[in-house]
Amino acid sequence: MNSHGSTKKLVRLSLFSAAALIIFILEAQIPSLIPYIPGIKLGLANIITLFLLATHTKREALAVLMVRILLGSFFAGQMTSLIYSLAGGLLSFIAMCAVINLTGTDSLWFAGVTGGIFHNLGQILAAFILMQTSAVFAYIPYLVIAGIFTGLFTGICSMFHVKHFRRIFSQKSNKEKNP
Amino acid sequence: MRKKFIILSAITAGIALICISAILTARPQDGDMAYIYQDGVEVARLALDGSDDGKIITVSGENDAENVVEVIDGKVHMLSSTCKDKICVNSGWRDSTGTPIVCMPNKIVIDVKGDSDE
Repeated sequence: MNSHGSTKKLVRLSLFSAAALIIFILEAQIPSLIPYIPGIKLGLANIITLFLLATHTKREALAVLMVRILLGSFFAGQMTSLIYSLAGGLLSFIAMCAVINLTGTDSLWFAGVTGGIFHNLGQILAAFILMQTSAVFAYIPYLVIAGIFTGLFTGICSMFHVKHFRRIFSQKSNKEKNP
Repeated sequence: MRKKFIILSAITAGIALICISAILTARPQDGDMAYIYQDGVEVARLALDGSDDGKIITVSGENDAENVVEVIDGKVHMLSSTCKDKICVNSGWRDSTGTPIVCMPNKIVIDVKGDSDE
């Protein structure tokens, strides 16, 4: 029974990893919305991370996030982009965990906003450490605002995702109970 | 629930307002000199007062990395780069202080500074 459950879990997390990876790679093909300010992107793959944080455990969400970042950088990026993705991804993950602990899962849009802001802050921090130039801090206000809007978008998307997922699963468990 | 929504919205709007005011109050000054940094070390500087117009500087790095910086009409831009994302090339032109041009994969920063801040 236990091994049945863990296989189920493995398959489910693999599916979410694949979905996040596809979103990540497709999004990398979209040209930058505002080329004057580098680093602005929607961060659509964060929808999956937020969704897992709301419906699964933090450990499972972190596992999917790490698989997505590692494979995404191997497939779509260079070695340096892995460092930036890790810095942004992990910092935003910690921030989103803290926010969800505080606000609960019904305010996912705010966790998305926090995630967006801290993702961009993490990337600026990584840029500062790698390039040893404080000039990159000039981007902080621009990227925080960008993080608010992109995070709001991904946060609202993940709220819809959670809503539909719960409906599908409650229908399914009803069917299993009364076939 | 409603109260929480209002509090969280207020926090979000507050952060946005702080950042917008930070952008609006930091009026960029005219830049006199573009400093090119590689790995945090200054490798070149280009005057933006017209004396370096038409000048092209190539910065080479490890793994055949190469970035070409050009000055025209007192404005600096990244002409080309061997990096994959080309964010630096698409960042456009700079002639005033404010945001630098950054090439993250090749660790190149072009920062424009004015007279007052050295």
